[in-house]
Amino acid sequence: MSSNYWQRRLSRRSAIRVGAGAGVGLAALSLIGCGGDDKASPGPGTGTGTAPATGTAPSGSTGTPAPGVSLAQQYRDQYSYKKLAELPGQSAGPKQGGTYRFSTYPLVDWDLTGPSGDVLAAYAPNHFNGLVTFPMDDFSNAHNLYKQVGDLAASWEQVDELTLTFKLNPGVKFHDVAPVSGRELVAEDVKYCYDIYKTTVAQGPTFEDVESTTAVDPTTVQLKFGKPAAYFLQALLYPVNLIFAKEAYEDKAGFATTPIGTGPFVLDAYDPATIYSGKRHPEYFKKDAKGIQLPYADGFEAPLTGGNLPIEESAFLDGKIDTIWTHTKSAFDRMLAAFPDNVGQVTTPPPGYLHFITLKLDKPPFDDVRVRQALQHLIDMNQLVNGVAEGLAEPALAHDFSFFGREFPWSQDELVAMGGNYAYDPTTAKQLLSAAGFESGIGRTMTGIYDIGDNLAAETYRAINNMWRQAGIDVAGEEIGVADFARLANAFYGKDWGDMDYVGFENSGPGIDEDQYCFGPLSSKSARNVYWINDPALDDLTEKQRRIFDLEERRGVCTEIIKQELTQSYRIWGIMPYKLGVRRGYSYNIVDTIHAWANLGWGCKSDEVVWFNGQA
Amino acid sequence: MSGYVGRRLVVSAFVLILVSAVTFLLIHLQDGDVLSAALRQRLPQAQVEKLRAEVGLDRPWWEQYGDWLGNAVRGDLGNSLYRRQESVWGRIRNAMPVTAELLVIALLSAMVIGVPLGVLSAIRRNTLIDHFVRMFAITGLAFPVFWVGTVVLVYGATWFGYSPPLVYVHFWEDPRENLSAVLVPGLVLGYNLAAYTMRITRSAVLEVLAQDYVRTAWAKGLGERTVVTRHVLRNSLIPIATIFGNLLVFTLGGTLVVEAPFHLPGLGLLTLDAIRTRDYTLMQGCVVFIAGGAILGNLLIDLAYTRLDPRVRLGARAAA
Repeated sequence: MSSNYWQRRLSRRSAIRVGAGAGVGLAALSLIGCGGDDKASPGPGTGTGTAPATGTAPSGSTGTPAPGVSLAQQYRDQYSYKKLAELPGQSAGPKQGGTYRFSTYPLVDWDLTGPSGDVLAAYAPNHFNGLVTFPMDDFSNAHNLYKQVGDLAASWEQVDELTLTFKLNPGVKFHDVAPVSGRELVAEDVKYCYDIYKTTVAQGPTFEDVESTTAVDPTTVQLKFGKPAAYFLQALLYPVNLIFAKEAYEDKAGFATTPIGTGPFVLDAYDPATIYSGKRHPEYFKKDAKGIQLPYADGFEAPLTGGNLPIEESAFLDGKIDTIWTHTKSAFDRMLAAFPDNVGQVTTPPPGYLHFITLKLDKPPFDDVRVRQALQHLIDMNQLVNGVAEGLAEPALAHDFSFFGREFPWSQDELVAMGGNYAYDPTTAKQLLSAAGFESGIGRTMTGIYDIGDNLAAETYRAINNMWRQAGIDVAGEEIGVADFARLANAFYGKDWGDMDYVGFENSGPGIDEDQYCFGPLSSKSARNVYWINDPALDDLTEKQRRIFDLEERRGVCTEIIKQELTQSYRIWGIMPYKLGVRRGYSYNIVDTIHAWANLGWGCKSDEVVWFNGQA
Repeated sequence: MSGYVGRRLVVSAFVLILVSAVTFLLIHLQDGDVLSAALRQRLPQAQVEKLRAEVGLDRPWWEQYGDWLGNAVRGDLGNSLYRRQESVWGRIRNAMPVTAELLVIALLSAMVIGVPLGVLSAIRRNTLIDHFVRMFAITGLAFPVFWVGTVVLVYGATWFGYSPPLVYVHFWEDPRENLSAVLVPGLVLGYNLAAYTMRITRSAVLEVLAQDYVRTAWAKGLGERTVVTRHVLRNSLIPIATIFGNLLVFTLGGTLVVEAPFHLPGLGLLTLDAIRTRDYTLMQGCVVFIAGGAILGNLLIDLAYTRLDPRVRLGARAAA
């Protein structure tokens, strides 16, 4: 990655830098000795955080929203994706070159078909393509993703409700890496992958209605469905439905260590302890609208920092990475202010990332809807949004609001209108519990676990537990650290529920079609229903919406599903935190969308269009 | 001497086996296994069982341990269960230099800073210098290493434009880049150790300063430097050497506190990764390696006693 030291001279500047590094320890000690507060202040030469696309930093950066406007609204307006198209440099257009630098997490392996294949959604699109994908750049309508654009497919046709035909782009080549060695992609490759995907963990649910895949000719693929699958095309965007080569898959060990696809980057290095990097695929088949060869960047370098926030922030402040996910409002403000031309983007929360609690619904007293409704009524959503998430969150609901043509999630009032028990109402809660036979608490200790790997989620669960305790419910919530994730995971799979009443979750996905938030978690017939929901009405409705191709009609059925779920309070909702991204002003197309957060999520799909204008 | 070393090595082998067995048992007493850490979705039970069989988790724990031990004795620590393509030894081999560098920097700074300050503090007892040095030591002991590390990271970047490299590079590939990665965390760790060393050194020197032979040396009219270096320091070295051994063991197992905040891929972070993912082969490898290092370190310190103090005899002759 770096050139050999012995070929370079040790400059005075770099010597000073090392010396300065050594001195920092003593500086920190003097700080400790002085007992100064730990509030960060901008370093010398730093600006005031005016983002070219977003104007000056909002008054919210000091924590004071304008009258009548919520902080969330102020931030999402000020740092909207809509302003990215106005960035200086956009008019000149993309340039080739540069290395995209970001930090990310290590992964298990590169086996798309393996038990942890879905994690690859945040990595594999750098190396593989699917048939279709979602639009993702500074100009895309990031808040309405219910549309598809071609990836390997040049075009497609829904011939009838049971037949879907794709025409592939010609001349697509795999990476020139053995054993595939740069050969051309053919329709048989798609058939080979899709046949395997019918039985795999990550892709299986998407392909369950696919009866057969046929390579009609080298550039035509036809899918036959056993039942109409209205969800399929959108669900196919989920970026693990990617195409690999048969010869790569047959080399089992190699398939798990070396991603060989048709994608924009060839793997350069992957060491789970240090770095993940890629370099441009010289034969990549895609060009942009102006005919410029993609990817724009020569490559990417991603230190595998694994969510170490202090070191990520430190690296961003020092110009070592081009973008950062800041997690909190205060960090967002601080990182934005670090360089005068930094660009902030505040993105609507995806329905796949939110904080909620699931109950063991077949166990008394949680099999009583009144108890569940009471538990939800005892949660003060305003306290969670403003107290825990510094105002930058929305009430949670794991349904895809963009499917319904919405730009933003449902407000608390809208959720209440749909039957949700979101109104903070301890009196009603007490009446509900009383009607369920509980004059004090729920008659016993309520036990559960939640993950504290994510600070914001941990704070949410702590706050919810305290709200329940204040209402007289004896809650024993056990905090599970990252090291005990396996234990949480076991609970997730329903094996260790014996003594537990609830589990706090941070993830309701994956999903890019509303079906994955309807049938997936809510049908008793779904492998993704780990929430103990067993409701014949929901079984019927979730199955019905899968078969309706008319979007409006399908939206209607899905709305009924949401109402039924909300009325029954099958899951206890917390909050959906916004994504607070900051990127350097010289970088373009590092964009977040409601589903695809760059770069730790599916947003890595946009890496092929990331470009730089004078990268530092 | 060689008999003593031989006996210690034999005992050490048993200790290592015991450590590995206890570690193995503790891992298996916990809920979950490497599959539950790796799987992100619910699978049909049959598929889970198939995967468990693939990595050998379907067998009783003593069978798994027996297999692991048999291979380990032959020098094969096996492959990681979480990242199955990677050998445990390969990962330890990559992590070892990182931890070794941290150890060297931390222990060197402990000796270079802690011992002179301890001596100075003792011979200038109850002066302003003594008070200042003791305050330095108390703060070093009071503030947790990970906290100091985080402060250095956060304020280093904000105030001094310092941030450690995000990717560790070996010393032989790029010494400058390597040192910029390990020097600061090594010093952060070393600050804590130096504080401890300073306290022990001060006590030891004060004790020696009260001895008759030191009074005699002063009475002979010897200069301060001669008294301190020839008579006081040498006789204070035994307790210092003892704590040096303790520090070595403590630091070997405790580098995680700086490896984690500074994202250095050393043995500590590797062990944490193994625990998090319930990767028992990797964890066994790490624990045995760290325990082996600690045992060897203690042995070397014991041997060093004979050099520092000719009165000390090890093994059978000492017992006799």
